[in-house]
Amino acid sequence: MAKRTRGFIGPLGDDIPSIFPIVIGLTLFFAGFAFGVTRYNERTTMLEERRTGLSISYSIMERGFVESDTALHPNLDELCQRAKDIADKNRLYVALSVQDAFTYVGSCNTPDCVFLNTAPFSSYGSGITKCVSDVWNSTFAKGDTKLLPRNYVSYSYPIAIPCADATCKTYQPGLINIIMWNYRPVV
Amino acid sequence: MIRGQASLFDGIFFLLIATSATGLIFYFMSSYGTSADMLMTDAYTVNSVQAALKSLYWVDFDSVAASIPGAATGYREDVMSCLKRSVEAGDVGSPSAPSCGAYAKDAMIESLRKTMIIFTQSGYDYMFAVRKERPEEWVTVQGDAISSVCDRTPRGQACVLQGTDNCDSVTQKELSAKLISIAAPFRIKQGDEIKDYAVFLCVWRR
Repeated sequence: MAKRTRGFIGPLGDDIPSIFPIVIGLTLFFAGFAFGVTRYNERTTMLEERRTGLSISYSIMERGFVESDTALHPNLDELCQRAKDIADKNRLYVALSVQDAFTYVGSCNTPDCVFLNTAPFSSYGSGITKCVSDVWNSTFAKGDTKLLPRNYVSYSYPIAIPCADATCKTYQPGLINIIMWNYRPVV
Repeated sequence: MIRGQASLFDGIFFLLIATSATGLIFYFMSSYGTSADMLMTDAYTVNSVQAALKSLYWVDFDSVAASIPGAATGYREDVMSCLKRSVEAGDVGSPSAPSCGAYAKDAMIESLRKTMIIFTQSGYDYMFAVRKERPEEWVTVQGDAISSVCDRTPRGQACVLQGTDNCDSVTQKELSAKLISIAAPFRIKQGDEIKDYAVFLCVWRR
């Protein structure tokens, strides 16, 4: 009888050594799985944003120039409407601005810079509702992108923009910037 | 054999499977989206070069005239029209070209310096060339080629790309193995004859 129970430490005790590798294995697998799912979602979102960005750019770069309004400022109304239509379908915020080749000339109060999707962005400040234009004006325009979501997408394209100076009558070289980000609140 | 060893082996075997599965997840995630990302980057680059070339048809010569020594203003022509006048007279940059054609090369350099800034800042170089069609023959640019490479070359030093070079020279001179080239056709009427030309804008990674 004593010989038959040698090494036997009970039905539960016998399995205790195997519990450790099982627990480690499960932890490792679920941690890896969670990481994989997170990365997959992030990448998919980023690719979707980039794809939408390209769709918007195909649409707004059709003619190669930005029209001017009566005051000879860039008039982005039509381009903005096109960009907005595409961005809305893909649940993205989008903002457009134009600049001459070397200097950012846009500002929220001038027609040089037009902002879209002016839905409340209540995650900025305590109870202060800010529109996308404020975010753009206070952050991205000044090169500070920390308030934007981590995965925003920005494209710049060469485009002819209305002349800023009187000697030139039609267009000068410039750039148009397209920046997009998801509806998710900014952390 | 001690009975606990069998269940321990089961646990270790399970750990091995879990580790392999996790490894597969990591392997899949490291490559997921890479090819789509590359495709979209290429699409963006091609679209940008097209946009740059398209914008040249609208840029007023007067907007860049201030940066060109000796150039007058008031021509009321876009830089591509100036280029056509220059090509009509022979070479690009020919001083005998009528109107703003005499400054076509400088106007093109100045316009491209501004429109292609997103490329030069991202580590790309570009080159602009004109080709006569049927029979194919590259139009000579007087002096150095119209390229960011020549723009960066210090004064007094010869640029690696000369006016007789074209987009093919980039690979021949081993500046890059892969380049993206966009062309746009135009026509010039010389007497009763209509001649077909094409402008080429090519970019490559430095």
